[in-house]
Amino acid sequence: MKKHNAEKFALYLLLALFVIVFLFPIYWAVTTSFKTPGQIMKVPPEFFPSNWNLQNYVEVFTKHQIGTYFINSLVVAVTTTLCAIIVATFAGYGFSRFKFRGRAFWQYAIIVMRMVPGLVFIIPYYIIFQKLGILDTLFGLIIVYITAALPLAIWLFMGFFDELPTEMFEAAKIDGCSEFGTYWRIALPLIVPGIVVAAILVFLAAYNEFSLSLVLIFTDQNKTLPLGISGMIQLQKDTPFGTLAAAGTIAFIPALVLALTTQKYVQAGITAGAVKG
Amino acid sequence: MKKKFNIMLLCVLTLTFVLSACGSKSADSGKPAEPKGEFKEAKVEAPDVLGIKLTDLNGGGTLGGQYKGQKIVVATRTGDFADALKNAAKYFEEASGATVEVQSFPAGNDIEKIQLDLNTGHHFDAVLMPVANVHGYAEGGLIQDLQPFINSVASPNLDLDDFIPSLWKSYGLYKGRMVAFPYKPDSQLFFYRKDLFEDPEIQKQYKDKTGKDLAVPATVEDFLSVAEFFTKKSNPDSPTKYGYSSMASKTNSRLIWQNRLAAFGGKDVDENFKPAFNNEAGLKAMQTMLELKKFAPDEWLQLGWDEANALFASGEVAMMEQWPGLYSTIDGEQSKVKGKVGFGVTPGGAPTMGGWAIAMTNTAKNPEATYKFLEYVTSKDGELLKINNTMDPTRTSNYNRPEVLESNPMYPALLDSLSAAQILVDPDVPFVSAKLNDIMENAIQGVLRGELTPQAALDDMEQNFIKEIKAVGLSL
Repeated sequence: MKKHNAEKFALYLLLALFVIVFLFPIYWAVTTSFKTPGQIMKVPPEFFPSNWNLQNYVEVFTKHQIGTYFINSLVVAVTTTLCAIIVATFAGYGFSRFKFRGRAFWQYAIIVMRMVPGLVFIIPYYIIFQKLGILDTLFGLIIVYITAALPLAIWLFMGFFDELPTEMFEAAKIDGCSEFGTYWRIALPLIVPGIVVAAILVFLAAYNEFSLSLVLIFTDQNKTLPLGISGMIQLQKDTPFGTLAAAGTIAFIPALVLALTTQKYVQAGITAGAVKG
Repeated sequence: MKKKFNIMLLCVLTLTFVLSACGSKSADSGKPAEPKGEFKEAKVEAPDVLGIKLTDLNGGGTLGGQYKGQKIVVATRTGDFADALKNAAKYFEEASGATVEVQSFPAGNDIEKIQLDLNTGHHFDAVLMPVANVHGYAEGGLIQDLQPFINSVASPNLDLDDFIPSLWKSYGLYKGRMVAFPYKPDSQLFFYRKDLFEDPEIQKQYKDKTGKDLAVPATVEDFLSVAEFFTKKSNPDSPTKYGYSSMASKTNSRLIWQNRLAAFGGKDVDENFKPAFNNEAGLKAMQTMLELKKFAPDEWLQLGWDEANALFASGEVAMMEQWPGLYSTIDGEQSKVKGKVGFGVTPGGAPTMGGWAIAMTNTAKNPEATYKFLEYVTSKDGELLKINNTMDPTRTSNYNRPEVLESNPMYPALLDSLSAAQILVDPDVPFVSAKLNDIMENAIQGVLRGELTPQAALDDMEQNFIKEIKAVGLSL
């Protein structure tokens, strides 16, 4: 019994340490966003702000158009996630269920695309998008992000679908279910945790992406959060820690919502597809 | 199989056709447009700046809505540069009829983005960038000569002689051609604790210790002597812990050497891009830097912009060399030295210059309107529209206005520094300026860390300068 309690204590201690290490930077950013420049630079630092003020939030909304950047990021990330998940589930299902000539080749061709550093594509994208007239549009950005997200998403879904027993598909066929019906009514509901995990990965990748948006976006009304926030830092000027923290806190909201609403699927989804049945 | 191949080929050809069709369309749109709008006398009113009524906001009568329907796209860095342009653009639009779109990109990534577009996209009609970059664009044929526009459509109030001569020469001209207008001047300034220098007790102590009067150091010898006096390690009675400070972290440390290089008669490169620092001047500048290290903070090599400025504002440092932006920290609510700081030219009298210039791209869709915008934002009154965005004036006449001079206690020192400055912080060598900066930083860091002797660092720098400059085909 004593041994059991000691193990439990050690476990909770370890977990508490992890919580502090991971949550303290978030706590610090959030509290900094409510501090004045004087409070931010105070030595010793204020771990709990003596005064809470909203000036940094007023500034990021009035001076830096954070609202526009936030909406643009959400539009780009949500659209990318929806499109990538739809295409990747189809592709993953196809690769998993059907045997066809060149199947292995195309599977590896897809994953090879993931291995090429994204920056290599920047100039070709720039030139192609310019000629197609979709430079400086959210549409162009969405296309790029879908393309970048697909290889990983397809491979994840191949793993999830591979785990489903073939007997189930055969039973569906015997009962007269069409191939699309099998995909839609039987396979998809069974991999919901996997869909959630893949969606989170795709969403966060699109939401946080900087390099490609820097090259493909020009105007303030089309800038996304990473681009807009990086523009708040000026050389030869004091770093605006307060406004950066306020912008970071706002940018953090979708991640927080995702974490709170999808928690129950994440654990199942992360381990799903890891072992073939 | 053959059918599949044919379908694929058809797809590729269709895509090629679509792309080439789109390409030719954008090429056509590059034709210069003539003013189409009707000229009507424009009267533009702006709020007074520093109590000065701005009377010349219609280009000396040359702007009267004639550029209606034309659009100018200006590229620059986010922050004050973009804000200043946007502010002036409002009045220019009212006077000219043209519309101005300011596109801005984050510091640290703006150079690559603008370079990429100048080479391939051709979206920008004008660029506001650091001088070394603008000159690189000039060498690469990416920006155009402004002289033909000055000859034909300039404002009668243009007055090119009014620009501070050193700025005009270093920023505006490249290989004898006028390629840009000076936009934001920048020079290393000397900040010192006026309250300490004027304290009779401290003056007496200094006199007793050195036999000399305590004065703001103008020469390198006096600089070292005063720095030693104000350093606790060498003078336990010193009111400050450190006599001298600056940014000595990597990417900033070359300035400590550059600020003395010209003072001893050296240069970074000559007019043929040949290194001109591996000589007595370069060596003495290095040795001075090592002397200064004795009086600098222990964490000197880690000091970047925020850290160095915070240390000076804490009151622990007597003298500092820094860009004018330090003033906002000195004047900030946390500062312990607010109202106690004096400003001067860096000791030796040859500070390093930074600065930004505005130029017209070779692919400007509306060159005449673009020129007028460049002229507008750098005109005598146009300059004052940007002064509240930390863009200091580049024209002598503006420094002569009492309201401007009184608005910022640094301005007399800034004017003197800009007039005395000789070396650009980024070597004025097209295409490789950033690489040369890295070479200098590596060598200076090597000396400051004791890994290289001053002479070995100079040899190393010279060798690498030659290699990089030769690699881009510039004459040596």
